Amino acid sequence: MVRGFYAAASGALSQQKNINIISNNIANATTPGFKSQAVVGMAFGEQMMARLSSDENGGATAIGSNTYMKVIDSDYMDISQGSLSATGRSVDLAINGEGFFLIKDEKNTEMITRNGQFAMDKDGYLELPGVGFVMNESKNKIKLNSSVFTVDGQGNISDNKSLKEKLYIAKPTESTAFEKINDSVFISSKGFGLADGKQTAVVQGAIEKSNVDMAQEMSRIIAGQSNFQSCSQIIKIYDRINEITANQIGRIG
Amino acid sequence: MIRGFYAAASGLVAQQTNLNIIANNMANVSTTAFKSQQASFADLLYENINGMMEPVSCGSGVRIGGTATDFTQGDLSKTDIKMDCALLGPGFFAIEDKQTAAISYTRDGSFRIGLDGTSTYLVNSAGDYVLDEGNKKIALTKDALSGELVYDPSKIGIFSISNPYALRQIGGNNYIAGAEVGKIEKSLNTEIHSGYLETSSVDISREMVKVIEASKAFSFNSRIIQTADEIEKTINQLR
Repeated sequence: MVRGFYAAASGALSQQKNINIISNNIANATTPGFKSQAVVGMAFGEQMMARLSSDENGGATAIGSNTYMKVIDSDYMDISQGSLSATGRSVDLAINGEGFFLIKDEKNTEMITRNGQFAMDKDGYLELPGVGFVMNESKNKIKLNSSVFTVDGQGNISDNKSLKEKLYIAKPTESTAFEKINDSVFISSKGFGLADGKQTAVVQGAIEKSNVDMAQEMSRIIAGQSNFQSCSQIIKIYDRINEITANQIGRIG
Repeated sequence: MIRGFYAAASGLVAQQTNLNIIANNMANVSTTAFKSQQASFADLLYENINGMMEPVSCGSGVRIGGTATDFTQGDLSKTDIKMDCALLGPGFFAIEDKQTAAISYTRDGSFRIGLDGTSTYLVNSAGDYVLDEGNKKIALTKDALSGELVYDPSKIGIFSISNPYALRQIGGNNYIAGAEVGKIEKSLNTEIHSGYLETSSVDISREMVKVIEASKAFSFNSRIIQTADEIEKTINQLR
């Protein structure tokens, strides 16, 4: 087949993946702590183009480089700050600035999140419902006496009784090496460390909204769709060329 | 179908639920002691869509994880009806159901005189008993001077619940407490004011902003469904 046929097909496939990512961003336009994603396209290497030699040895002679496919190389996450929205609930927390809340699930897996829609479980521990428990600075669960407590900007939790805890504000040890799971939670194989807290302000009674920029997403999807249509048009043209090649060239009479 | 189609569909469903919750808040803008609710959203699972190459994780949409109640104090409005009570500060009244004797909690203090045989008790507007600190019914006494039936507001039990966010709304301004709510004990700092009622804590302007946000998000999601559909059409027309 003509090489361009596959180039167009790979372009269409890449755009489809792109549109899937954009759809997920838009679906999560109101999800607290959600960070928008985008894909990075790249040419499929500088492919060495080769031709079969006609000499007796049958060896290939290089004739130069060319790129003939577009693939999605990787995705990147925009971890910029989302706007804060007041909820009036004492268990809702948000981070303004850098850092993440550290969550540990039942299997002791460490996770980080900017989604501060916390709750108290039946024993009074601060948890992210359905995910795990919020950790204090010594990586233990935080037990609250009641829903009446205050959290200051540094993450110190206190009430008028015995409660004195400090939130663990985490940061990934390698800033790019973390991936999303669900519930706006991220995991990393490289682990997490304690953020220095200088650029961090914890806000109580508020949640961080999604940082999805609707205008950007909509323009991306329009671009993606047009690109997809162009690719499909190219496929059609190649199809037509093939048709002519097969049916008309060499026709006798 | 392409995955994005379903992600956008989940967005439509979630935004619709969000609108339902906002509509309920709006409908209860003048309900005594109503506490506004908000939807909590959560994104769904992620999966690699790039095969054997550098992983590209793509999510599968959004869901509503639940509703969260905002227990911010409502304003007190003066009614001049002696039987009305309002709470200033955190805490709840305990109500015993007349038929089932099940205990529920409320901040609605529009109380009445209830007749049970020959004795009179303090009841709420549905006719269920208001309880004191020891979970007993409150009997009304006849005032020596005027002959009116009176009660002592300080006798009404006020209970503080350590985790009110786990209370479940059952209608009629009542909440039921499961095991998750933690300790229920006598409240110390909450004041009771008779002759007042607590108004709804719904903030109309905030709800309106949420309506705009939800309806815009809804139309963006429907636009994506349309785009996904057009792409399918393009694919179908390839031959």
